[in-house]
Amino acid sequence: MSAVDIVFYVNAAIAIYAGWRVFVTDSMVRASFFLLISFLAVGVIMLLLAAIYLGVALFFMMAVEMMVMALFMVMFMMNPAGLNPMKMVHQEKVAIGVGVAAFLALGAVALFGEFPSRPVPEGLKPVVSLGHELLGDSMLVFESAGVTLLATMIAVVMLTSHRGRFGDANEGSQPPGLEPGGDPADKPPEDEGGGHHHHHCH
Amino acid sequence: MTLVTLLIVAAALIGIGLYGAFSQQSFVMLMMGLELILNGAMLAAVSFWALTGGGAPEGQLLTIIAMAVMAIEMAMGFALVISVYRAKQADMTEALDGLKH
Amino acid sequence: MLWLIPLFPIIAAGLLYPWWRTTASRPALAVSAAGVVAVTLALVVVAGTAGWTGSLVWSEQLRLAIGFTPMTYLAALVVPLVAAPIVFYAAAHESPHRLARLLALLVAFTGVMELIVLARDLLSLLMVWEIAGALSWALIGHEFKDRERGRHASQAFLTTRTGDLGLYLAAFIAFQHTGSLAYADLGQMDPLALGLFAAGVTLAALSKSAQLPFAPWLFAAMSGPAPVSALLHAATMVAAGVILLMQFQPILAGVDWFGPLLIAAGLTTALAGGLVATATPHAKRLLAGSTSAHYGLMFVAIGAGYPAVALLHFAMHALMKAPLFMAAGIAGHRAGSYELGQIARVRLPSGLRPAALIAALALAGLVPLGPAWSKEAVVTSAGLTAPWLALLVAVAGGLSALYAARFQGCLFPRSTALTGPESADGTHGGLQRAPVYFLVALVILSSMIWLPGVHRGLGQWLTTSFPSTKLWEFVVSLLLVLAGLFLGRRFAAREISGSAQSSTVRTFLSQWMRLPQAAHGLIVKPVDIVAVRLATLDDRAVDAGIRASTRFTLWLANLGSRTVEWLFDELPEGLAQLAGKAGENTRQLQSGMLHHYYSLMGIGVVAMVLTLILGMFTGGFS
Repeated sequence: MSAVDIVFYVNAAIAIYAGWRVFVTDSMVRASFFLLISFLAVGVIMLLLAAIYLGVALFFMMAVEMMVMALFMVMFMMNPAGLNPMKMVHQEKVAIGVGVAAFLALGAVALFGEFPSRPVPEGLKPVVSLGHELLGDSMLVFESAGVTLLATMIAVVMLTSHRGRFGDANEGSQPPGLEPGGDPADKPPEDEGGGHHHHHCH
Repeated sequence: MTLVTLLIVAAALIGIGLYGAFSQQSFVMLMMGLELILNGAMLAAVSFWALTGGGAPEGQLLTIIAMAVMAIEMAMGFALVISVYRAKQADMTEALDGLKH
Repeated sequence: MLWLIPLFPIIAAGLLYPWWRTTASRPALAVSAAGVVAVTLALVVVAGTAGWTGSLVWSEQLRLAIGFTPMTYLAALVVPLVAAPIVFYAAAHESPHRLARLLALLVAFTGVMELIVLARDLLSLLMVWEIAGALSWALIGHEFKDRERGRHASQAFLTTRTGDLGLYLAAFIAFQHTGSLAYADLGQMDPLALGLFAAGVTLAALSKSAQLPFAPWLFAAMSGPAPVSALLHAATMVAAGVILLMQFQPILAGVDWFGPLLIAAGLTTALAGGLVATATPHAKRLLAGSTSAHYGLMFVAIGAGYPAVALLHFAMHALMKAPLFMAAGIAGHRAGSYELGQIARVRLPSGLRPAALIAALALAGLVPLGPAWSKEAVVTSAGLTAPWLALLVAVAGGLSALYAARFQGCLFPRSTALTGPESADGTHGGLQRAPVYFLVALVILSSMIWLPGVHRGLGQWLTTSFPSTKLWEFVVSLLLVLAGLFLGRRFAAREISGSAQSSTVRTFLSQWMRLPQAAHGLIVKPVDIVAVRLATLDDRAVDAGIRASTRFTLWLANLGSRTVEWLFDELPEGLAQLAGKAGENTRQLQSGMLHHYYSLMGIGVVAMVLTLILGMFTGGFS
């Protein structure tokens, strides 16, 4: 049990526990922070595995991402503070079965699989080699990922804009009922145009 | 910190993530499940790179790609959530019953 | 060509029948009907001189053959010779109601009888034997609307049919042992088969020729019209048995019991028939008893080994019996009854008296007439076997004389207390009597047989010889005949005066010694009882099985309707429901719920992975 091992086991326990807590907390904001913690623990394990760049990237990315997620939580959820118990699940048995089965299957792969033991050679600079790879041999892959991300941004903006090509984005929508199957909680917002359609001639 | 223990941790993360992905009603929670799955996958990929790949950079590249995929998934997911919310004032998967026969 | 002889009258009768139905002229009827038979006679003569033969090949083993031997040629001559006057008489005498049918049947019967005479193999014999039986039934039951007559026809038919079984037996035996049915091959049988064959043929002959114990059917046959009786007794039906035995006698003489049996049966019948004829108060039954008796004499002759004598007696008997029946018919019509006591009170045409007298004397066997010669020949041939047999036959002849005299005395009594006009027959009296005179003339002509040259010539032609008459037999015979005549006159006188006691013996005799009742008691009743028992058994035992099978079938059907029906309904129903449920469930898969969809995807992925793992282990994916 070296120090590295101890750090690893601690972080592994944190990662798994936090990952589990994500789905049993009452507050969604808390859930997103648990997820962040889980990611951070995994990032530490990556650092232990000498994947320095990846671990750090994971820290930054997840920190930001979880902030965004928390924002969304506050935006959508009726119970962001977790003041009353919250359990919004469906098909839980199936989900538990799937989870356990996946864990058992992959664990079996880990236990019974025969993998070659080729650790990182001494003196390898992981960040440098990754940089050469990204902007060298695998440049096409890297650039494809970049372009894909760009396309994603454009698509996201398209999807979330208030006004689409065919009129109001929430036209014909109805707010959900206060109770399931009840009256709408709110009237749909009146169209300031008085219901006339905009025909843009392109 | 052997490959086996690493992979078991990754497997546990993937299992938990799958449970979340399958059980949560809320879109956002569902996406958290997906994040956890990718988390486990990235951990497994890094473990393989570090202990069996012999330091080949493609292992790290794979993880980078996985991160990109995670980012895309998040962005697209939230965009879809917003548009669904716009249309149905709902953030639950059950609201999406347009395909119901 | 020879087939013409039997076929011509049959076809002609069929063709003339429509015309006979429409025509009312009795002379035309009489001449046409008798003409057909006369042409048949002419055909027989022509065939005999030209030597025609006939055969018909059915298969390799079955070939019909007809032909002549001297004896059958004589018989074939006698049949139409006697039948022609009879049909003439029938056309002139019988009531016009359904007369055409009667004539057609009579004429056809002549043809059938010719075929019986001509047949040279058992197959054609069997066929016409059956046809003859059926025709006799139709003729006896001519007045079939009368229940009693219909019953009598059935009785006659059934009795003779019973005997016919013997002929079938004989035919089967012959075919089995010789492989052929021709008469010519019968001699090849071994003794046992020959014995069986003889038994069958004898049974058939006894029943057809009305010998004991079958004799009573002739009484039943008296229900038919007078010409039918005349034809049946004189020329056709009853003669068939004798003609059959006559032809087989040379073959069957080798069977040791054959001769004695025939003599015993014939003699018994001759004596019993004589007694019955003596006792019966009924004119036609008297003649029927006499027929049985005389055929009994022919049987005696055959049994004694002289078939030619039997043949000649048959011919003579035919000639005399037919006019007697006709006379009885005329008398019966006048009296409205056949009771001798009634007949004695009516006046008959005077011309009929001498004719009937001659026929009756011939029946009595008085010396100068032809029948007397053949009767004496029978006496002699029986005497060759044993003298006491000759005596018995002579006694039978005496009985014959007795009832002949009784018949004549009752028909033409000497007393003058007669009623009715001389000729009540209308315009056709002469027409009715003509055939009687014709036949009586033939009887007188037959007296020529007493001439030594004539009967020797006949014997040479028939390739046989006749036994020479012994003097004592002749004398005894003659004395008995005279005594019989005398007694007969006495009996007739008593009959007319009404003083004839109906004693028990008389009743017993006139009912054929209660033979019909005996047959009823010994055969019909037991058979009836057995049949009833068997029917009960059939109802209770055999039907029980059938009913049980019915119940079982019903049970099975119920089971089927309950269980199998349910099963067969539920199978498709269940499948349909399954399919429906599956369809509904499949539609439920399209729930619109994302998590359902990716659960399914997950299942798919798992299945894929498992397949890959399986492939890894089983070495697939090569």
